[in-house]
Amino acid sequence: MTRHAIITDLNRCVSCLNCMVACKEANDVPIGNFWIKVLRIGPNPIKEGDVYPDVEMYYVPISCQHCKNAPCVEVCPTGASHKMTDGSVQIDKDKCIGCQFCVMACPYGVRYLNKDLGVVEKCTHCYQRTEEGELPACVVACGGRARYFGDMEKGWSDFKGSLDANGDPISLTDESYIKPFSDDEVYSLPDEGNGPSDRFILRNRTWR
Amino acid sequence: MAVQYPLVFFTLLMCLAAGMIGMQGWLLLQNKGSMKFHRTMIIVELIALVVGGFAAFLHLHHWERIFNGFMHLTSGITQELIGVVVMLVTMVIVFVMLRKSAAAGESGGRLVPKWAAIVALVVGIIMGFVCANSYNMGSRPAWSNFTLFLYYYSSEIILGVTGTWLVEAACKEDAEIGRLMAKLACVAGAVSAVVVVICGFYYTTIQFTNVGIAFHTTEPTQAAYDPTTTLVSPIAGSNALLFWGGAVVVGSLVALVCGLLKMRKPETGMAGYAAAALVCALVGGVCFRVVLYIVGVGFYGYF
Repeated sequence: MTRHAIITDLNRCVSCLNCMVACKEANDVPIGNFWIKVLRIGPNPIKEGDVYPDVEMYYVPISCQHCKNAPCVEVCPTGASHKMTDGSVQIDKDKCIGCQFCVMACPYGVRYLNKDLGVVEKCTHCYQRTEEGELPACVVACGGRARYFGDMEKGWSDFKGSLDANGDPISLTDESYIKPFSDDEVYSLPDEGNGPSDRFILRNRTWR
Repeated sequence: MAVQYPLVFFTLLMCLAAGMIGMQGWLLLQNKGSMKFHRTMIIVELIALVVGGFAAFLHLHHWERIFNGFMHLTSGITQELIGVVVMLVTMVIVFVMLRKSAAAGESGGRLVPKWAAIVALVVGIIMGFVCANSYNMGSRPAWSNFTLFLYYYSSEIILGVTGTWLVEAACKEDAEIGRLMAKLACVAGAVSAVVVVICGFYYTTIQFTNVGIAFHTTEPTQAAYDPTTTLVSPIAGSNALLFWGGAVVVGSLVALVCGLLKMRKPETGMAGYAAAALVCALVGGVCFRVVLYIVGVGFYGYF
């Protein structure tokens, strides 16, 4: 079964915010709303009690995690929020009544009410693009070549990122771009039973 | 999370209606109360239900789509809608049974059959659970624990008791029920105060994911997410007035004092005290529900 996800190599993310801008442009996200945000974590002490310069910092782009057991789907009264066969969570805007219970139920607070349309919106993994075999806008535009989109069931080699000099998407397993990583350097956002799909690679830093 | 006032008033009036239905069922089971009292109770419950339902509609941005598949049973809203319909059906059953017994002229007989009284009582009890369960979300640690259920039941009890007390005081037909409700208002006020304080202190014990120093690149000058300060704010912070003044003193202790005074001196002024107890319980209910939204911070609030 397909389970699309985005993996971000946090050692490459420079917080250029290209993902946020590309998302806004590709999805016509209203002013004040965000489908992806970049969070800066740090500077925090490397070890307890450490002071500057013994500090570390990294950036985390956060968007809908397309959870396996999505609480937003469970609380939606009309079935507007639903799971697709590709594992993504989508919103049928014609069914949404704007009750915002999904906004309350989302563990990561990534859903916004579109006040003009009166419906809730969030990251769709750029469904309009991925359905055509393209990559999500945030992945293509990533300035640090940190973001990769693929199917978790097919393994890391399926994950593709922004284009190389020849116009081909870079693979997550292409070590000429991506430094090797082990499974214990791959993290997800805190899980309270919802099963977030997206993953974050972080080497030589403490995941917080 | 921003306070959703339509939902505040919806749950408040649902607790009032459900509490009164439960009280009515309990009184009918004991065959207490006059025909006029019980009919007035149904009218007040119906008004609470209709106004509460209207408030819920105001919350929806596309209410015209609610029948576009509005039966997803795991959803709290669907469960609440079913609960509202069940409450309406229960009211109709009690009303019809009251009319039947009035038409039969059974003086000294039962007002309604026992089963109808039990249905009203059970529906009243279940609705408290349904209201609380809608907001029982793992994403909001302050809501996903026993205190939410405890509070909704205490709210239902105090609103149900004071509402029933006011109806009786206005009808002036059952002095015995009036005295009983004054006693119950006293107990419900005390229970409500204790429950609210338990909730407030429990919030201060909730643990959150803490990533250390962090900020959003979209709002680099805004203070970092600080759930601990927010959860302490009702007990000893910026929301202490809302909590202690609104939910504890006005929302709970006024009913306790009104009940205490009228327990001892039930002869006169019952309606005024009952009205004061109900209005203050409603105000306190709004205050605590606002507190619930304030403390309802996300378990990972870094977006």
